[in-house]
Amino acid sequence: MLSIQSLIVNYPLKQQPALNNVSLELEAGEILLLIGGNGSGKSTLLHCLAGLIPGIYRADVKGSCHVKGLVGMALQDSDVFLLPTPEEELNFILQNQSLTSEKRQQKMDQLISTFHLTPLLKRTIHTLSGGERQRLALAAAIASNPVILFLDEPLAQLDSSFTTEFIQLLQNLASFGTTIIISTTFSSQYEPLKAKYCWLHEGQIVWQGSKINFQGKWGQARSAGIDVDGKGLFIRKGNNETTYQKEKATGAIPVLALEDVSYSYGDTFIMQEVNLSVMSGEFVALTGPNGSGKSTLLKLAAGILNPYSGTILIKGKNIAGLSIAEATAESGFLFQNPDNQIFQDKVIKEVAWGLKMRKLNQELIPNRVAKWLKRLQMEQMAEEHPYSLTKTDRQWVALAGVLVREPSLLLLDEPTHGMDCASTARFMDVIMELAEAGTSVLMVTHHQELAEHYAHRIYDLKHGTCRQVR
Amino acid sequence: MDKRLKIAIIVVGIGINIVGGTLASALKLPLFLDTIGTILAAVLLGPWLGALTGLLSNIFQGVVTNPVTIPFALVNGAVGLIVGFIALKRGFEDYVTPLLVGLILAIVAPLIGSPIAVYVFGGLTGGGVDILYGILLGSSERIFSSAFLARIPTNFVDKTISAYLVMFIVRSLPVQWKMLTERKNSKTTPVE
Amino acid sequence: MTEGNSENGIMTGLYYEGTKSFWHRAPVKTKLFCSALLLLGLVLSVNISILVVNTLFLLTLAVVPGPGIALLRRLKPFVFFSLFIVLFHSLLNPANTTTWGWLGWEGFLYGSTVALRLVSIVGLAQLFLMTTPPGVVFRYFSSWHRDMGLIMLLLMGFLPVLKEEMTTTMQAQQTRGLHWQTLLERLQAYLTMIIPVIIKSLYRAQGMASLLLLRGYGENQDVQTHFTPAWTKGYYWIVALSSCFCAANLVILLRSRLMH
Repeated sequence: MLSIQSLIVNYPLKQQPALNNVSLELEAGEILLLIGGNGSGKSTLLHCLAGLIPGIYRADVKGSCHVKGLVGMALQDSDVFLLPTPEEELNFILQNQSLTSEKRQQKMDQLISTFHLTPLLKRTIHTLSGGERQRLALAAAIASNPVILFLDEPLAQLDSSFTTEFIQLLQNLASFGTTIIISTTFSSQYEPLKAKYCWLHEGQIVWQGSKINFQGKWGQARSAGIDVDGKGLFIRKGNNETTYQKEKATGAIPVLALEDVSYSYGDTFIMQEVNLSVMSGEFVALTGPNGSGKSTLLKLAAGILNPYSGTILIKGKNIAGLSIAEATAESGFLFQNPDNQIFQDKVIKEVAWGLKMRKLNQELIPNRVAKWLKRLQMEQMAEEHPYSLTKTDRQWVALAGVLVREPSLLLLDEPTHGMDCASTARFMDVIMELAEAGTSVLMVTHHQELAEHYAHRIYDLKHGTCRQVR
Repeated sequence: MDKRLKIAIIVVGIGINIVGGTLASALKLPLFLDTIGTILAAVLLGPWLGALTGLLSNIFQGVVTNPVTIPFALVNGAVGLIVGFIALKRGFEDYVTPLLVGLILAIVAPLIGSPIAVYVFGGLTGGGVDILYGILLGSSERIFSSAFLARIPTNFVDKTISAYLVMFIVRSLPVQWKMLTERKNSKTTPVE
Repeated sequence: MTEGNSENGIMTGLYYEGTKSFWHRAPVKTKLFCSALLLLGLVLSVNISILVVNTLFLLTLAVVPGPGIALLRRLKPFVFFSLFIVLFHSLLNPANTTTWGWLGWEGFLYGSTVALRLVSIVGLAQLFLMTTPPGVVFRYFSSWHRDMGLIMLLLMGFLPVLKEEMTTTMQAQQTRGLHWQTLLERLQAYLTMIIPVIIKSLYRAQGMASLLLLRGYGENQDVQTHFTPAWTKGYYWIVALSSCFCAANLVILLRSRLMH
C-alpha cells in the first residue's frame, strides 16, 4: 500500500535535512503510530506521503515514495478550513467525487452521525470550539473514503468523551483495510490502539517495532520529548518528577482580583459574578472545557474586554476606563499564537519592541534584552529572523517579548499549545522560577494534569461560573 | 507552482486588500492602503494572476459591500499587472523598485481611475481630494485633467507606502516562500 | 466603510430577507441577464430628459416587484452624494456660461446627468444584490469559471477569520504597549498590525492549498455544479421588457445621431 525507500527531504537553505534516509513499508489495514518530539520530521513525512511536498511546501526530495490509492488527511491545524459552514465544507469534498446524489446524501448522513455534527452543521466554522473543529476536520479527512489515512495529532483538543469512540472508529477502518498513520508526541493517549510503533528523531527513524517492545525504549523516548506514559510533562531538569510546594502564598493585597465580574456577548452572558484572585508569587491555573470563556476571562484581566458589571483590580487599582496599554502597565499577556504579534525582522528587535513602546530608557534596553535572551537560552537565535524559526521557537520569542518587561503579573493563554513534553517542561520551569521569585501567574490551560501538577491553586470555569477547585 | 496554492494566494491577497483598507480607515489614515494584497500577489504570482487578484477584489467587495467599487476593478487589476511585470524584471527586494512602482502607479492608477470616476461620480470622491479637484477645475478648463491631476499626490503616497510594505514582507519571508518568486529554475525533483 | 452584514458570522452581504418578492424568486441567470440589458439601455440614454424617464422606469421596476421601500432606503446615501455632485458642478464646472449668481446652468445639467445615472446604476445593483445572497452569486460564478467561483467562495470563509485575526493582533500589540495618536504613530500602528496578519495569512494559504489538494479539488475537472434551469416560465415577460427598454434607448440614440 505504502512504501518509502531512503527518503531524504531538504528544506531550502537548511543545513540539516528534515528527513534523512527514511524507509518504511505498510500493508493494507495496518496502523502506524509515528512518534517524535517537535521538529523530529513527523509532519514533513506526512506532508510528503500526502503529496503536499514539493507542490505546496517547497523542498528538495530524494528517494522514492509510493502511495497507492486515495489519500485522506487531517492537518495539524484544524483551524484551517475552506468554506463558511461545516455543511458546505463536507459537501465540497463529496462534490469533488463522482457520486450520485443519493450516495452523497447517504455518506453525508453517515459522517454527521459518526462525528456528532448535527448541531454544528449550519454554524460558522470559525466560531466553533477547538474540539468541535477537530471533529469536523476528522470527518472531512475520511469523507472521501480514503484507503490511506494520515492524521497529524488527531486527539489534540478532542473532548475525552469522543476520544474512545474515535479510537474504535480507527480500529474499524483498519479492519476494513484502511492503512492509517498517526503522528503524535503523546504516545500514551493511543494505548488502546493496535498499532505498530515508529519513532522518529531528528529526521531519522531510530526505532520501529511493537507496542510491548517500545516500553524498553521509554527512557530514551522520554528524553527526546515524547510523552510515553502520561507523565512526560512533569520532568524538571533531569531530576525526574518534581513537586512544588503548594502552600497558599499570603499577601496584603492580591496582585489581580476579579470581584463579581459578569461578561455578556450580545444578550448572552458568558460568565456571571466571577470572583478570582491571584496573590503575589502565586501560580494560579484556570481550567475548563473548550469554549467555556477561559480566554475571555484573561482578556478581561488585561483590560482588552470590558466587564458587564463588577470590578477588576490590579494591585488594588481599578482598570476600568483605562486603555489596553495602560491597563497592562503591570501585567504581561502571552497570546496563544505567537504569530499574532511577531512583525520585526530580527528576534532581538522583536523582543526589544515592547520595551520601546513602554518608553524604557533607551540605554537600558540592550542590557535588559540580553539578560532575558540569556536566561531563556535564546542567545544563539538573537540575530535570526523570527519566521525562519520553528513554531515552538516563535512561542519562546513571544514569551521573551513579554518577560523582558519584567511584569509583576503574567497572563498566559494556553502557552504550551503544540509543544512537546520537553519544551513544555522547560517552559514550566521558567514560569515556576519566576513565581518563586515573586511574579504572579494566571495561566489558562485545558490540560488538567498540567494544572494539577504545577499550580498553587486551580479555578475551573464551566457554564459561566467559576469556582476554585483547589 | 501548484494551481491550488496559486488559488489560495489569490484568496489571501484579496483578503489583505479588504482588511488593509478597513484598517486604514479605522486608524483614520488619509490613505486607501487597499492594494497591498494585489501587489503582494503580483510579486508572488506574476502579472496575470496579480491582475486577477485586483479585479476579483473589487468584484467581491462590490457584491458584498458596495456595488460602485466594481467599475474600479480595472484600476486594481492594472496595479497587479504593472507590479507583476516590474517584479518579473527587477525582483522586489531592493529599495529602488518600490519607489519606481509608486511613481508609475501614481500616473497609471489615476489615468484609469479618473475617467471612471468622472463618468460615475462626476469626478468626485466625497473626500479631501475634492478640494484639490475644485481648485484645479477653477484654474484649468478640463474636467478630466483636473480629476486626473487631483488624484496623483494621494496615489503616489499610497502606492509607494504599499509597495515598500510588500518589499519588507517579501524580504522577511522565509526562504521557503522566496522560492515562489523564482519561478523559472526551481530545483525540486518530483516525487515518483 | 461598511463591512457587509452577517448573520451568525455568515456573510449575507447586501441580501435583504424582508420580503419574498418577484425578484427574489427569479432565477439568478434571468436576473443577471435582465440587469445587464437594463444597464446597457441606461448607458445609452441620449439626453437628460430621456435619462429622467429611464431612471423613473428603472426605479419603479426595481421597487415594485422587488424589495420595495427598503431599496429606496439603501439609496439614501447615494442621493445625498448625488445632490453634492449637482451642487459641485453647478458651482465649479468649467462649461458654465449661463449663470445665476454663483450657479451655472451647464454645470447643473452635467451634474444632474451624472447624479441620475449614479442613482440608477446603484438602484439596479441593489435590485440584484438585495434579492440574491452572495453565496448564490458566487456559486453562479463557478458555473462560468470553476476556479474564479471557488476563489470567491473561499473568501466567504476566509474573510471573517481574517477580521478576527486582525482584532487579535491589535489586542496583542496593545498589551505590548502599542498606542496611537499622531499621524506617524497611526502609520506605525498600521504596520505593526498588518505585517503579522499578512504573514500569518500566507501560512494559511499553504494550509488552504493543502486542503484543496486533499479534498480532491482540481482532480476531476468534469464535475458539474448543478443549477436551477435558467429560463423558467413566468419570467419571459421580464426578459422581454428589459429587451424592449434596451432596444428603445438604442433606437432613440441612433435616431438622434442620424439627425445630426
